[in-house]
Amino acid sequence: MTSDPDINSAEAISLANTYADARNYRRAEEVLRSALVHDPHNAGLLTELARAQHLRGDNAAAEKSARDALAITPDDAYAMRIYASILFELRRRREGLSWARRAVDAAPYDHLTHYEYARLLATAGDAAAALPVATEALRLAPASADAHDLMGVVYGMLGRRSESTAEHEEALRLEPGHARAVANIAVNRANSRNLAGALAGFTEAGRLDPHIGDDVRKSITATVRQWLSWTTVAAWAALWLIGQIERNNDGPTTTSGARVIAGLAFVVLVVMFGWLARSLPRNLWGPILRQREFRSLKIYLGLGVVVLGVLGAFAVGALVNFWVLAGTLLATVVVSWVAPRFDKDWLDKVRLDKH
Amino acid sequence: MERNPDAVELRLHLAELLLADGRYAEALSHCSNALTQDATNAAALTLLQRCSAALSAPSGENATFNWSAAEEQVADIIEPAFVDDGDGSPDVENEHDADVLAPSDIKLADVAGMEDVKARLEISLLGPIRNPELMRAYKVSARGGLLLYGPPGCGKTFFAKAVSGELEANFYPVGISDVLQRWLGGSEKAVHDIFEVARRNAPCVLFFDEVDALGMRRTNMRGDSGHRTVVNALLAETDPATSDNTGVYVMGATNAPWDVDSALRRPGRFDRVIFVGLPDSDARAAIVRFHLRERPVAGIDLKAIAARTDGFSGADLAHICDTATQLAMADSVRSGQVRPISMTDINAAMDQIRPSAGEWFDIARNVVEFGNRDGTYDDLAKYMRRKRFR
Repeated sequence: MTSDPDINSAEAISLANTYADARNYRRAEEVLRSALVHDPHNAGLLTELARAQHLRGDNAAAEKSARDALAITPDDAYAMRIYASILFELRRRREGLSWARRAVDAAPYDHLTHYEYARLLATAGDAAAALPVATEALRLAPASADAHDLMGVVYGMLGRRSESTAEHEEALRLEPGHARAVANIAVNRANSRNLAGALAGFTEAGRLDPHIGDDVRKSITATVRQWLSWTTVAAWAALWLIGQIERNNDGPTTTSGARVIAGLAFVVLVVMFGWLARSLPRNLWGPILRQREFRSLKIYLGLGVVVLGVLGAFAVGALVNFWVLAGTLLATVVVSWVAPRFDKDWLDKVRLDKH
Repeated sequence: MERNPDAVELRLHLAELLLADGRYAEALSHCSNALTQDATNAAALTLLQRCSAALSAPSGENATFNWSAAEEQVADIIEPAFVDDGDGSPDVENEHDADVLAPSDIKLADVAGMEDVKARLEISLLGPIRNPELMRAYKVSARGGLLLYGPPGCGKTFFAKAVSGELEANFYPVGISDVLQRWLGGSEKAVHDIFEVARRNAPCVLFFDEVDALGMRRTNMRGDSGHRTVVNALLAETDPATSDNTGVYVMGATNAPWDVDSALRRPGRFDRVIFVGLPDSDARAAIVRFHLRERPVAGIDLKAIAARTDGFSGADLAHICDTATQLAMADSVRSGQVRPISMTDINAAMDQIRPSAGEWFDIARNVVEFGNRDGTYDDLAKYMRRKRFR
């Protein structure tokens, strides 16, 4: 019973789509291939085969299948759309955009052709061109969660963050389990320096859809790095200043006020680290710190410098100018909070991956 | 032939005559000789196949042997070969049902290794069913389904068959193509009919393969998917409040339990999950033995193979056996001499084939890290830690 009997093309496509929805692309491909044995020139089967191969990551094979399909039905907008996506993945972006445009012309009332064209434009970084296309997709399918999510991505790229978040939230309202919308809201939070909210969002997105776990892990890594990088830079600056003062000072000048400020800076730093630690589930710290981005000695050196600076405020106070030390430690906190973001580019890129 | 040993046509004619005379082994030898001279000779290959088929078929002597009389003579000494109407054999209600039901003669003891899985099956399913008094005493119910999950090609279906064998129940495997119908309402009717067949033939293990595709999360489906109704139908048929599934043991297998609709995981549905990991050493040796059992082999060191294939799935091991067989066969065709599969072929095959479960464990890692707050996948997490997949 479990083996597939000789099924006709329509049934094969239906079955393959079910497997593709379940992300079992290999099985989808098998079903389509066995149907193609009996009906080798069926454009529908070839197009679906191209889609399954594309989703599986075999874009070279997918390109051939899509070309075969288009040779049989050159006006099929669906085949054009699949072909465009494949070419884009093969880094033939100009051709991909051209085919996506042709698909729009061939089926101007199909929201998916507009959606795909807008998605490719946004992925190519042309948010301004993507905006009207995404708007048209949304006009044709106002109840499509994916269309709202894409609109949010385009707004986000244009810096219209509140509109972007509103679109992602609308996508979530329409489809509560839309993991990518959750992740995209988290990207907006990270870019608004709401790092705790961003981390919670990314973690939730990973829970909703484990298939995007790699992207989620990288986004969390980027967020944590964003926090740590500037702390590290500021801490290095503090250490350098301490060194300068130590070299130029004739003798130690300590005051109780300096100690209070240094102590305050220490407490704020500890709170910030504690807050960061609490924002991320404990079991994720190991995997995050094992990411390639954290295999950098300078980050750990930087953290060490923070500790040294704090210790300097209390234990080796006799050696440094405490007013300067306290000020630089406070600056560490301030800089880490308000500094621009190293990882913004990465976070923006994550919005579009594998939409 | 002795005067002109290179005359292929003549040799093949002789082989044909020998074949007609029932002297298959001699005919086979001439075919091999002809292939040595011309490996692409289609007539020789056809004759070779006919010789092989004739050799593997029962001989004339055996065909006339009175098996029934012999069985009667030894009936007190050995068990009959086939039991048609034995007490333990499940009944099949009608002819149509017989087409889809397959009584299983596999037991858990037939599964080599994998002791963890066997123990879990015993505790969560077989033990309660075998001890109804205990169930009553502890106020527990054996209702609800059992979902086996794990990397592809690791014997989930085989375990389901073994459960069926242990329960001496009919085994009813259901694939997605048995359920999905093109016409409106067809899939729901198919689900209902499947459950009706299982109820009619209780005790019955109703086994749904690829549950992730059959009962996928409704959020994963495309908007126009007619698949939503299948999940609803499955929910209705497994609802203990509206359906009497006494004697129907619902089991499922999936590679991706995290993609199964959460409603299908609620109490009364697939509410128990068991992780079936990669085959352990004993299981790997048994799988290799199974796949080579009817092939000419010599000097196969199962322990050595098992030691070298940690991380391979059952499907990978089957692939190794097939590849080794092809290597030996290709060599035989080249040399004209039938040569058994040896460790050299197995080693060459193992060099070519990589474990295929890595992709699955990448997703599983994400599940363990992000989606295991309720502890559903603790077994998987432990397994991955033990196997250093994390």
